[in-house]
Amino acid sequence: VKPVRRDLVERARAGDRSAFAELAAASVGRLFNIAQLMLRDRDVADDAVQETLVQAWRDLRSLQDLDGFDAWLHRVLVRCVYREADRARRHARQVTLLGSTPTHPDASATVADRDALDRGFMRLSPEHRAVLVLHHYLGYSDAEAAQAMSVPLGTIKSRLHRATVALRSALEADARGGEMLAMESAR
Amino acid sequence: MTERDLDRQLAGAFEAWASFAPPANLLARSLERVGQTRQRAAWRLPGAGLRAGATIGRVVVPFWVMLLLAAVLTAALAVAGSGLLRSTVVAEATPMATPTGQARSFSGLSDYQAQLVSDTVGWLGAGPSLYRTVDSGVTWSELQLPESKTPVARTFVDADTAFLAFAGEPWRIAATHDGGLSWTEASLSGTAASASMRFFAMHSASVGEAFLDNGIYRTQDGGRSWSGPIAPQPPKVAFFKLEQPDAHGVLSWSDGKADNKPFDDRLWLSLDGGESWMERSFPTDTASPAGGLKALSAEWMDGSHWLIAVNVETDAASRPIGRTTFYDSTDAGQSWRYVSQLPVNGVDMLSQTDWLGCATSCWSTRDGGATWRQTAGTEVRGASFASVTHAWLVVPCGLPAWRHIAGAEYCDGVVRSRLLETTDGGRTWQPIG
Repeated sequence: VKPVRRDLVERARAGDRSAFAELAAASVGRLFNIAQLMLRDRDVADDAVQETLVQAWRDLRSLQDLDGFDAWLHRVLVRCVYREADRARRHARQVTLLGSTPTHPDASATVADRDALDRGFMRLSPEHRAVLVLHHYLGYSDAEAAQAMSVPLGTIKSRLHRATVALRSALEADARGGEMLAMESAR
Repeated sequence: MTERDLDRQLAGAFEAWASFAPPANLLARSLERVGQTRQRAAWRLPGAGLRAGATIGRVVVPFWVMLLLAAVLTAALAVAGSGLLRSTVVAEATPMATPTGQARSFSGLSDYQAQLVSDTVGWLGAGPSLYRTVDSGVTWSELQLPESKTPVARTFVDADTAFLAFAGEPWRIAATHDGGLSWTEASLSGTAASASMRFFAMHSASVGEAFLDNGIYRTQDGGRSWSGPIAPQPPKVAFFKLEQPDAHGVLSWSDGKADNKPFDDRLWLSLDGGESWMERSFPTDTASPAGGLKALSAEWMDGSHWLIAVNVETDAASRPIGRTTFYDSTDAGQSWRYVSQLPVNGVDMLSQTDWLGCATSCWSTRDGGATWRQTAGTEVRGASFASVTHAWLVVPCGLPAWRHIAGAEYCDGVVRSRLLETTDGGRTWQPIG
């Protein structure tokens, strides 16, 4: 994650909207990618990112560590992702799978593997998806992931373990041709 | 599969799944909402957490006091809100003082919404203020509004008609039909202050829809009253995506399936704000391949003669396509004939024959797609076209991404925004306001 300029954060925290706009412009692509990975739905991810930027602006004065803006922003994003996931669930919307086909050939996985992985990932809870994205996409350590998800270090370790086990179980069930679980019940 | 194999596969999958760019206007929409939001005062929580209470400045507030205050506030809101959960007119039209136009610059504002609705009349909303011009931006009148807070959404229909949506419990929508001299205000029943608005579109001076978390609200009397909410759930749909109603008020659902299966090319249309739905099929041919993700980006209907613009987002394998294909039908959408195609994501249909769309450049036609003219060499997202030649564009000069569009000519020396006008379809732009 490219560090954002400290002076921009300071100006934005002091109420400078143009400084915040520059911060937002530099972050929106990354935020959307993370939200899309966690939610697997472009529309819901769009909502989550909007809400993240609005809440970040609203609460920016509470940020103490100017150099920790990115980590703080990710924490706000994770909260918003949870909320949007919950809202989407209440509205009984199913998750879209837009953009789930790899754009570049990947030697480590066939398309079939990727599809199976996608299906398995979709069955995980938002919390499990979030911890996997933080760990495997952002490369967060356990401590960083714990901070982003606002949970104790021990919780993050067990959550990561359970998410991995759940994903592995889903993949094995898929490989056995087991019956597809409805996403709502899996959540 | 070993744990390392799984980790490697997962990392590879994440890279692939995250390779799609965010929606083009996500940043602009977010910043518009940011522009309507005030920063909160800093609350410094002591290390022991909430149990120890919070400090506001030098005053320490014990946690039990915070709980008590929250309970009292909740009770007060419940009592105050109990009589408001009906969709009724809450304020009658009240003539305001006739505003006086004057030259005005908006370049010091960071976020505002400007829309040209005719060759001379335009509206401009900035925070809690609303301005109107009748001479294409030479002079502006500031209008008196029924509420002092910043609206969540604004919709400008024509020279006389505008709507403002205010969040609250319940939400309220104010309407003017005389250019802002007087306003009526009505509430949306059952809406919570924390609700979010997915779209708010008026497609005539009297008919329009507001889509909030709990469903679609509709007015057919110019905003004097709103019915709803209608839960938007057409039958037999496994996956769906509700599109914002187009200029003629047609709600559409692009319909498909989950689990990476190809989409099934069904199209659901509602002409009555979601009360009833017509099932049709998207046209499928080489320009609009079967099984891809499609959305209706614009339509024009006259009895059984329909024209539609289909935004083809992906093919059946979810590979991005990004083009718009035009079709017409003489049997109300039962069968389709290919008309034309543009390499853009979505278009505006200003009339039966005048259409325009922008991607990396802008294109327009005045003969129903028979011939196309490239009207601007660069993308002009967010422009409001009153005709295929006359438009306004708000350029947020504070954002580096926009500088290549506006260039030094318009943005140098301007800290925040610049309102531009084109009268040649986007080839040249002049700053106004």
